[in-house]
Amino acid sequence: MIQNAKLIRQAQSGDVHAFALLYKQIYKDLYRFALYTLRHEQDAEDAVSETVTDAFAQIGSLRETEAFSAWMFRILSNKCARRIRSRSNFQEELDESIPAPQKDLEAQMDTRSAFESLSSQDRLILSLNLFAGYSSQEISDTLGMNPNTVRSRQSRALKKMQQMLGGQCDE
Amino acid sequence: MNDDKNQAANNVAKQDKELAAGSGESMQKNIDRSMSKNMDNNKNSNIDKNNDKSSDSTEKDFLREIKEDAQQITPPESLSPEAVEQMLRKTQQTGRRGISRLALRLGSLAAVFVLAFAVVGLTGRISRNSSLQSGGTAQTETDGIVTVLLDEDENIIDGGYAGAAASGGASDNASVSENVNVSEDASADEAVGTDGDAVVNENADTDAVAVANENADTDAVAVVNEDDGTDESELTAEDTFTYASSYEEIYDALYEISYRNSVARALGGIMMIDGDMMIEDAEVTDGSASTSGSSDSGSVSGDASANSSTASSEAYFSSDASAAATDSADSATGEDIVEEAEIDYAAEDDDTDAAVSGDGADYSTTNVQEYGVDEGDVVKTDGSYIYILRADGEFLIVSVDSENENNGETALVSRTSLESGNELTVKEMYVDGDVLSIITREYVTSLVENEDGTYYTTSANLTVLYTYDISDREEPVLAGTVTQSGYYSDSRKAGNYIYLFSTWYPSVGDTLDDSTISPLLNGKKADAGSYYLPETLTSTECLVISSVDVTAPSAFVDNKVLVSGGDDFYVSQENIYIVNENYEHSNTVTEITKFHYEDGKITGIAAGSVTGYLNDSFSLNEYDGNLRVVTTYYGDNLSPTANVTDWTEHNALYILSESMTQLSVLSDLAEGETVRSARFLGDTGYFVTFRQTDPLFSVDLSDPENPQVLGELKISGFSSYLHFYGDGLLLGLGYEADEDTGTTTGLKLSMFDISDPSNVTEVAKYVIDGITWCSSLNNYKSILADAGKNLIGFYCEDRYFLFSYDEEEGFVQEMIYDFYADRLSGEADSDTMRGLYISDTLYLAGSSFVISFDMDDSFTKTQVLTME
Repeated sequence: MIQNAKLIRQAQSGDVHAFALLYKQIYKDLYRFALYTLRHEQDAEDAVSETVTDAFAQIGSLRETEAFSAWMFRILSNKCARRIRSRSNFQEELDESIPAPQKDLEAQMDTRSAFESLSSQDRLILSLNLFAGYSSQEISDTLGMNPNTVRSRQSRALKKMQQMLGGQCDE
Repeated sequence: MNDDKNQAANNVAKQDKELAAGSGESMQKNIDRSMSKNMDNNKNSNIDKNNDKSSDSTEKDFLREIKEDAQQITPPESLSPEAVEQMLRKTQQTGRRGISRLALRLGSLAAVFVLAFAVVGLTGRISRNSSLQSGGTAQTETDGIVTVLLDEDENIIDGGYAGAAASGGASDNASVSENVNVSEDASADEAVGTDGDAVVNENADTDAVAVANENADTDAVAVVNEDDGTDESELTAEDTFTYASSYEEIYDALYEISYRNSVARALGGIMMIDGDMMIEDAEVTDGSASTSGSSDSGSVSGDASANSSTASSEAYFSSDASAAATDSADSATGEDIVEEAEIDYAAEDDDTDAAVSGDGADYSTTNVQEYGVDEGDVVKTDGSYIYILRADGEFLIVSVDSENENNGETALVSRTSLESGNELTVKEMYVDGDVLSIITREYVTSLVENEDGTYYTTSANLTVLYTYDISDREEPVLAGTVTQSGYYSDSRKAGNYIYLFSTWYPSVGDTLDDSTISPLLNGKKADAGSYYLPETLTSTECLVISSVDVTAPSAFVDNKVLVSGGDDFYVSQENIYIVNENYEHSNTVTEITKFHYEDGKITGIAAGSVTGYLNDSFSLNEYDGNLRVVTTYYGDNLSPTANVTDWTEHNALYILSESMTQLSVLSDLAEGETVRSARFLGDTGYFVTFRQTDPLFSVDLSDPENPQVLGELKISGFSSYLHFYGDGLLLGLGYEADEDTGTTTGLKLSMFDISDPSNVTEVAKYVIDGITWCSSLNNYKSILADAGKNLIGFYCEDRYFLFSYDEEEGFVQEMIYDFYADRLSGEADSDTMRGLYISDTLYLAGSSFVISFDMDDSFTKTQVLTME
C-alpha cells in the first residue's frame, strides 16, 4: 500500500528512508543514464551523488508528486549537461569530430562503445529516451529543442550506431 | 488515491514510452504492477504513442538492444540506496521522528499475507438497543460476507471529538463566524465497549480530555463509540477550527512545515481560515483582511452569505480587472456577471445511469460514483453525439444517426484543437447540453535570472478549463477559459458548476517576501481568507479547489486552498470530502476535510479523522448527512497513537456525523484481510475483503450509532469493483484466486443476491482463466454496467468483454471484441476507450475510432469509423 506519492510526502517531511526507497526504484537507471551520457564512471557517480543531495534538499519543492522519476532525471540531466559544458568546448568538438572508434570491425564493437562515440547532445537525447523514459516531446522540452529535431537526431544517431555495429541498417 | 492514480498514470506513461523505446528490464518494473497499470485519465501514454509513431520497428528494436546492453551496468556501491540513505542521514541536520516508524511499517507490509474477505451490507434494520447483542458474529472469522445496516436517523451524538468539530457544520451555508466558534460544542465522546455488551456514550468537554480511546474491546465484536481524536491531551477544541486572516499566518504555518519537524504536531483537528474577505491588491494585513471580511459578508449565514461571497469571488477572480476593482462588494453585480455571460445551456441533472432511471434517455453515461455528480471522462455521449477527447488536444464530435434503419450510423462532424501555447496534456471532458468543457494540465517553463547574471529555468503546472459552446456541433466556439495553479488532481460537475481540484506546491523562503505561497487563479492570488490550514501539517502541498459556472466560463465562482493537499476525493451531492493520509503514527490516520458546495459556493464545514487507510473513494459514502468510511488498519487497537506491534490487518467501518464527529465505529472486521472494494446503498454497506477466499460480510448499518454485522458468505476470489445491478443484485468484478495461496488465477464476475441482508448468496459467477490483470477494474469510468440495458462491459488486455446477466443462465458472454483484429491494438486501452450504447447500438469509442455493434443482432459489427 505504500505508494510513491506517499513516500514522496514522507520524504518531503524529511524522511530519509522514504527518499531512499524512492531512489531505489530508479537508481540503476540514474547511474546508467549518467554513465552513458558522461562516459566516465567517476563523473557519472559524482553526477548521481550530486543529484541525490540536491534532490533531497529540494524535494519539498517537487512540483508534483507523481513525477519523482522524471524530476530526478531532469536534475540529473542538468548535472550531466553542466559537466559536459564544463569539460569545455574543445572536448566536445573532439567528440563531434572523432569518427567512430576505429576498432577492428571483426572485434565486434559493443553498443556501449558505439553509444559513447555519439556527440554529447545525441547521447543526452538517447539517454533521456532510454533511461529516463522521456518521450521526444519531453526531451524537446528539457533540451529546448524542436520535437521533430529530437526525433530526427535520435533517428540519425541510431543509424550511426548501427553502421558502427555492422551496418545492418541501410538508408 | 488520486495520487496513486496519477502515480500510476505516470508510470504507465513511462512504461509505454519504454516499450516504445524498447526497454528490457526497466526501472518501472520495480514498481508494483498493479499500480503502474492503474492508469486513469492520463493521456501521456497516448501522446507518446503518437509522438513515437514515427520510430520504425527497427529503431525500436535497436533501442531495446541498447537498453538491454546497459542492464549489465551496475552502479558502484557508493550509490546504493543504503549508502545514499546513510549519506543523507549524515548530512541531515535534524533528526526526524517517524523514520523508524516508517521503516517498521514497511517491514511489516512486506510480511502481510494476501488476505481475502468480503463484507456486504444489506438492508434490514436492527433497533438501536438490540444492536449490541448481535454485533459479534463475524469479526473473528476470516471469510464471509458482512452486511452492515446503516441508520437513516439523523440522530447525531451531541458534541463530537476534538479532532473534528464545527458548530456550523450541519448548516448548509455555515458562515465563517459559526465555523470558528467550535469550541463550545466540541466535546469528547467517550465510549467504552466491552465484549459488545455495553456502549457508553458520554459527553465530556475536550478541555477536560477525558479518558480517550478506551477501546477495551478487541477480541470480539467491537461496536464501540469511541473517539480517536481525544487522546492527544494537548489538543483542545480551540485548535479545531481557528480562523486566521493573513498571508503571514499561512506563511508561518508553511514555514514550519518546511523547516521544522512538523511531525510532532498534534494529531487531528483543523485550523480553518475562512471568510468572505476581499483582499485589496493582495496586500493583506490582519486588520484589513478581517475588516473587509466582516463588512463584506456581515457575518451572515445562509444564502446571504453565499451570495455575497459569490459576488466577491466572481469579481475578484474575474479576468476583467476593472469589474473586480469597482464592484467587488456588490453582490448584485456578481450575479449580473454570471447572467450576462450566460450561454445557451440545457442542464441535465440526471447524468448518471440515465438508462436505469428510465427518464426516456436511452444511452449510457459515464460510470460515476455518486448519482447526480458527474465525472469527467475521455468519451462522453448525449444520445445524439459521441464526444471523444484525444491525447493530442483535439476533441472529436461524432454524430449518431439513430433513426429507424440507420443502425446508429456514425459520422465525424467536427474536430477541434485546443489552442494553447503551453505543453499540454488533456485530462477530462464534460458535456452538458450545448456546453463542452475540457480540462488540461499545462506546463509552463520560464527563465529566471540568478544574482550572478546566469539563468535558471523554472516550471509551473497549470490546470486549465476550456469551455466550448457546441450549439453548432460543426463549429464549436470557445466560450471561455479559466486557469489555476497546480497540476490537475480531479474534478466533478454538479448542475452548472464544475469543481476543479489541483495540487500546487508553494515555494517557502526565509521570509514571506521570498516566498510564493499563493496559487494563482486566472492570474490572481488566492486570498488569505480562502486558506484552510489543518492542524496536522506534514506537507506544504496545497490543494486548490475552485468552481466554475459553465455558463460563465471565463471566471471562477469561488475557491479554497487546503494546505496539506488531498490524496483522494469523494463528492456527494452536497459535499466535497478531501482525504489525506497521515503517517505520523504506526497506523495510517486518514484525515477527511469536508466542504459544502452549492451553486459554486464552497464552504468549509469540518474535518475528522479515522484510523486506517482507505481502499479507494468508494470507501466513502454520505447518506442522510452522515459519512460512512471503511478503513483497513493494523493491529488490534484503533487508537491512532497506539504503538502497533501486531501487524495483522483489520478493518473498520466508521460513521461520522454531519459535523464529522464520530457516531460509531465497527472495528476488528475481517482480521487478517484487506478491504478490496466497498459500496453503499442507503442503509446498507457492502465490503469485499480479501485473503485467500472471499468472505462476504453482511453488516446492518441502519443505526449509525450501532452498525451490526449480520452474516457472511465465503466465496473464492475477490471483487475489486461493486455495482448495484437492479433489484436485490450486486455485481462484483474482480479476480478469482487460489484458495491456498491467494494468487489470482483469472478474471471473475460475481453476482450476489442481496435481497436478504442476513443471507447474501453468490447466485452466479463466471471466471475467465488466465486474465490476472484487467485495467478496467482500476478505472471504474471504463466500466459499462447497466442493469436497465443488461450490459456489463469492460476492457482487458486489448479486448473488450461484454456480458449480460440472466437469472437462469447467469452471466452470458455477449461479445469479445479484439482490437488487435482490427489493427487497433495500441489505439485502445482502458484509459482512452469506452464502451457505450445509444438506443440499440453498442459503440466502442476511442481516440481514433468508433466501432458500432448491433445489439439486436447478436452484437454484429456494423461499422468501423476511423479517424486519423
